[in-house]
Amino acid sequence: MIEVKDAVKRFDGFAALDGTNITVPKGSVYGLVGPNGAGKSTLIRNLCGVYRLDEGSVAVDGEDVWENEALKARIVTIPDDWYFFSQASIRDMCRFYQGFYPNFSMERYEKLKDVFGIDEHKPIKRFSKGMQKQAAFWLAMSCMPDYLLLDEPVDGLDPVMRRQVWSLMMGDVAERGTTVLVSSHNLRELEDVCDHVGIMDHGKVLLERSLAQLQDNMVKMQVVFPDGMEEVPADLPVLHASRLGRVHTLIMRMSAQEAAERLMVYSPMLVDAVPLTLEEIFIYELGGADYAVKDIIL
Amino acid sequence: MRSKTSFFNKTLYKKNLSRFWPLWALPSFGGALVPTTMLLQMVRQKDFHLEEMTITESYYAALHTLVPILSLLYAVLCAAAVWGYLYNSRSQGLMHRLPIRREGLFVTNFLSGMTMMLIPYVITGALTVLLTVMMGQLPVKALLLTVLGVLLESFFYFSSATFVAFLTGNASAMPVLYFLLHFLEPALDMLMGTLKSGFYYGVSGGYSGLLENLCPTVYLLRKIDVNHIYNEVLDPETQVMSQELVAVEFQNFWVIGVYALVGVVLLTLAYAIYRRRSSERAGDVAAVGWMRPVFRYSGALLAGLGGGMLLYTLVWRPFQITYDDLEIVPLVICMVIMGLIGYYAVSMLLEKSLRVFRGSVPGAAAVAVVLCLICAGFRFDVFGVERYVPKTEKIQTVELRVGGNDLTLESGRNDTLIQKTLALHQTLIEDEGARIEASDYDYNKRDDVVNLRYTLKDGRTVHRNYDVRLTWERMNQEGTVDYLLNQLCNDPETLLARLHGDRTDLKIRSAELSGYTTGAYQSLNATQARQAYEAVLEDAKNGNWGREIWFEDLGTLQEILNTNNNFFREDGSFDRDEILLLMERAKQLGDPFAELNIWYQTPEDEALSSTLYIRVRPGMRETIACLRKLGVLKPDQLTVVETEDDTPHATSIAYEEGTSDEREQPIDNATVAMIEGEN
Repeated sequence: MIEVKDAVKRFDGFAALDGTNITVPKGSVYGLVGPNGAGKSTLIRNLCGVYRLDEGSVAVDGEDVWENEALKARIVTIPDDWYFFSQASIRDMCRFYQGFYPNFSMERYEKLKDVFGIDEHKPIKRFSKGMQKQAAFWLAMSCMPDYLLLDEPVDGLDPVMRRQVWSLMMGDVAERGTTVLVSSHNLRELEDVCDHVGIMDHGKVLLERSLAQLQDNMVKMQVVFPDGMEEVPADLPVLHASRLGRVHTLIMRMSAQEAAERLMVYSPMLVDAVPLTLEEIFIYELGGADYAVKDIIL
Repeated sequence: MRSKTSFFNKTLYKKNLSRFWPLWALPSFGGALVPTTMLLQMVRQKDFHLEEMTITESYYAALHTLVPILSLLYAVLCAAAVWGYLYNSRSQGLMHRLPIRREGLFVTNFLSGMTMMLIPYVITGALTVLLTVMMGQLPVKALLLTVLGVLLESFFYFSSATFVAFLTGNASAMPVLYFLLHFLEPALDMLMGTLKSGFYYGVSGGYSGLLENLCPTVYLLRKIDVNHIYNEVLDPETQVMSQELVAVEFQNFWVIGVYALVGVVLLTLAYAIYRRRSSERAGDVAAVGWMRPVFRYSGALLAGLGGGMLLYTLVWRPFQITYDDLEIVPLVICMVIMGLIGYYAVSMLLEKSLRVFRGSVPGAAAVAVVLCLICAGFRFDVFGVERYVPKTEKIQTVELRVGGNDLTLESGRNDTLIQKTLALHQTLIEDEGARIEASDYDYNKRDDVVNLRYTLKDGRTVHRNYDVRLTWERMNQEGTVDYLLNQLCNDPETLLARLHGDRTDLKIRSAELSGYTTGAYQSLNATQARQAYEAVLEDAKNGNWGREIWFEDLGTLQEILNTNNNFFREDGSFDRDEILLLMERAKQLGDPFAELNIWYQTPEDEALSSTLYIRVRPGMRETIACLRKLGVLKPDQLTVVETEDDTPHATSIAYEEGTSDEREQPIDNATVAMIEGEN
């Protein structure tokens, strides 16, 4: 489990992390979302031991990550700006990682060679951005990590390769119980893979829930009220209401069953519960809080 | 889980060596060329052979001169390679994400860099040893000492480069800072020297070397030396002493050891900085927060002092009457301008932005004020440097050089002369009449330099060079610099001191007599040299050698006067008309003299051989008689001969048999009387 408590990290007085708290359960896929400059990359750099917190703590399986050699051997990070030695090929980097990560599996490396299908002897700098990203995944997956920290992981990958990469990671989560923390500013990207989500802005985590919690806690109801009833009754706890013809769409902070029961009081002609997308959940959860949610979604 | 800590990672070590292979391969190739060339010479020239002493000398010479310079340059390259990851956030991210502690990275990268530094030395050294073994020579002691020296010097230089590498987060700033730190001391020393010589009368500029141990390369080159030990061998036939090299010793090896210890300290500091250094500082000029104001203000002051002096030299010096003096107002203006430029330039580098002006006024004002205070401090001699005259009880020796005088006065032996020298020194400071105010030439005046060097009992030295303009009138005016200088230089005790005539422990080693015009020479053994020396002493006592006069064409006149002191009054003054007359006649006479160089040693420093330079003139009756007696001077040399037309001629000296280079010039009878009158 990854636990970050009251994390503060300042750069020349500017707090990139300003009391951040997150908890990533073991074996989960945690999506960390937020606009540019929210502090996601800073948090990941603290989680993998590149930065040191000014205040607060970062713990993985209860241990501080900073200068913890054994713990870091179980954590692999793919940053958004992955670095490789200037003349190095994937094979060279493979040998390099092999010398540091005790769990590095050559067997898996060889297997993944077919998946990615890129020349392991060619200098990485000659690859396209997407191919370099594939190389990073290839090497990261070969390290057999217990914790995989990904910062904007699929940027530059084509849709087919995105699916391939996520499939590989989900396989690891299912088979080895790998914990994945993935940061993105695109909710749609994470919707299909994450089971936990945290949203960050201005160095703080505004919301942190499991996907099930989020979906159970909010519902979108489509209602057609009886003749003569044009407006939504004022006593209904509606977060957002819209109307198209006679059909009212109501977003309500409650379960679908409870919402249906509340609406049945008005003898509606039609009541139907429609599933909410992550995007809608965040819009309506945070819409009133004056946060730049639109930046996260667009 | 935390128990596993490794301080060395083989993969990283190998990766460093393989990534940066040209860095060690190219110097190795260059180094290997030296023994290879020698090997080829051996093959071509079968009798090519080097003596063990020569090989030892070569090892020591390499350690003394080559290794410090090569290591200085090579260390910064190796450091830039292995610590380069610190200057880029991406590469730093890779290294710090790896499951290895900072200690492990530090040790592994340091060892990689040291290995890179040593590989060329090892390859070159191994080939050289192989070659010398093939010649049947293996100076084990010299080899071990050289290996140890190379190891320690490489360690020191790479440690210092490592320390600098951790101070900054910027790849371009790293070598600049490295060379700045290594040569800051001579740069500041010379700057201070320029300010001192510009503001203080008599104080010289240039490099004083007061804290030269802060500049390791200069100190290693100057302090360390290779000592050649000779045995004196007496040739039974010629009775001339010659020297035979018996040993070569490396002097002051401890200096290398001390620098290696400094290297340990620097390395410890570097590691401490690494522990505290933030990864996010990659790319910043100052990698540690507290270094930012240090960089900002030291950069501004250096720019102010150095750049200000340069600007002053460019825009103001050409308008000055005396080029070396400094004028405070334009200098302050130049320094403040350059100081402010430096302040804002460094601020821009530190902030990585051109917008550094807001809120900068207090800092900029502080720089300007400090520069003004520095200039004012020099101008008004706040520390009393210009006014300083050492106290008698603190003096060990005084060296005085002016005109033809070159003497060393020792405390306890020449106390009266030291007192007179101190009085002269005090007058030089107080009597502004002797100072040169303009560079105009005056036939009746003489520009000279009074050079004083005190060695104090605490080991310090005080050196002064006073440019003086001596005049005929002031020479006869009591209390002036001119008067005191004339008194001191023509004091019989001074003449004796110039020849060390007051010492009984002087060891005369040998001498050589040469003719000025022919270049021929004649060697004297120790016994003969002693006799010649004592004859010169006698001439000096009789007033036939060493008198100093100050005006006209003294190159000729002075020496002629040295042979005859009739023109000097009892108080040391002299009659100008008489001297002018003498000079005119001397011109007619020509310039007959011989050079007698006497080599001697003192018990204080038996390893050092010093020389007395004596110009032998016809008036030096005792010396000439002695040299004739010894058979190194023919009876007709250095005397005046009568020619058929009854015009006397002076003869110069020539020794090559059958190629007598007697030079004859007409001379009138009065001159002959003058020259030979006392003889």
